Amino acid sequence: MIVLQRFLLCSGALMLLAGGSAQAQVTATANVTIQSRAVAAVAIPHAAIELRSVGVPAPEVRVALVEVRTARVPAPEVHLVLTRSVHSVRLHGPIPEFGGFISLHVRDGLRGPHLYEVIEVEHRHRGHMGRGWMKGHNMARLRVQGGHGMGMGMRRGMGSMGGVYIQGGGHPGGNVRIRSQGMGSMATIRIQGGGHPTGRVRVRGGGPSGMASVRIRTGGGGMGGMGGMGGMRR
Amino acid sequence: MKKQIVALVLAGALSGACLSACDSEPDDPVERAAAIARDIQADPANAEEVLEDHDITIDEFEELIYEIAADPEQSQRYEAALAGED
Repeated sequence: MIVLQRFLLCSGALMLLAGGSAQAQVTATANVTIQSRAVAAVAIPHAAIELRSVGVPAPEVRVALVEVRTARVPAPEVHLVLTRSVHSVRLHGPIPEFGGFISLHVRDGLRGPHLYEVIEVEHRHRGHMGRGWMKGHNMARLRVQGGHGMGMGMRRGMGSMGGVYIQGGGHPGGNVRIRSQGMGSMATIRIQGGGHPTGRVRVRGGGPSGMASVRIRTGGGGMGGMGGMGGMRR
Repeated sequence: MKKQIVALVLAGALSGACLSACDSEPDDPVERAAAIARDIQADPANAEEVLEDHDITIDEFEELIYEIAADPEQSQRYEAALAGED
């Protein structure tokens, strides 16, 4: 009987200890969760700024944020979604309708590494790095940079002024076209690279006179041509 | 009559205490979020207590942050306030 009493006492004490430990663990987990949510939340506006700065339109960032808030995605995960997106955009260029894309997958219940992977894959397939359109009487500068830089910049309009730079560490290449129906268009195009820069520049216009100069500078075995023509058609 | 006076004095004291506590929190949501964020960054291990001190729940804080992050102008102001540029 005494043995049985002792056994019951011991098991009761063990149960109490286990219960206390479990409770402590839950409390600790809850603390860590709130702590990690708060710490991650602090950094979210900065991640959103970065996402907009790499080329994702502000309304698209808003749509994505509204969706993650509605779906109650925890702040650490939201922070990772934003930072992974920034990384993917830097590598592959922005995708159209970023907000709708995030919304779709968050609504489908995609979370964590699966969501990050989908973001990366989508940017790899649909990211439009190296293509830019600038229309109107704007002044703009487009930069396409990368280790293996490739890009195409197109600029249309009257009285526009802009610069297009295609830069790459290894083999930068690109085509840049500047067309104008009127007068006064001006552009600067530079294709620079450490090793083997290649590029094509065409200047076309419907006006009575035109001027174009192309300079190709290379450090190594570069090839280039220089010419200027005037007239109705070039 | 005495009871009424005591009740009035107590109510006055309580409202005064509440007002002084409320005064410490900035009215502007961006400034408020930045003030909380600064305290969290200063003591991340006690983020929960920081939120309690600022009388805000984690859900409310996240809500506030998402609203700021979605707005480019508010995000910039938050960043500046967080960096102590204001």
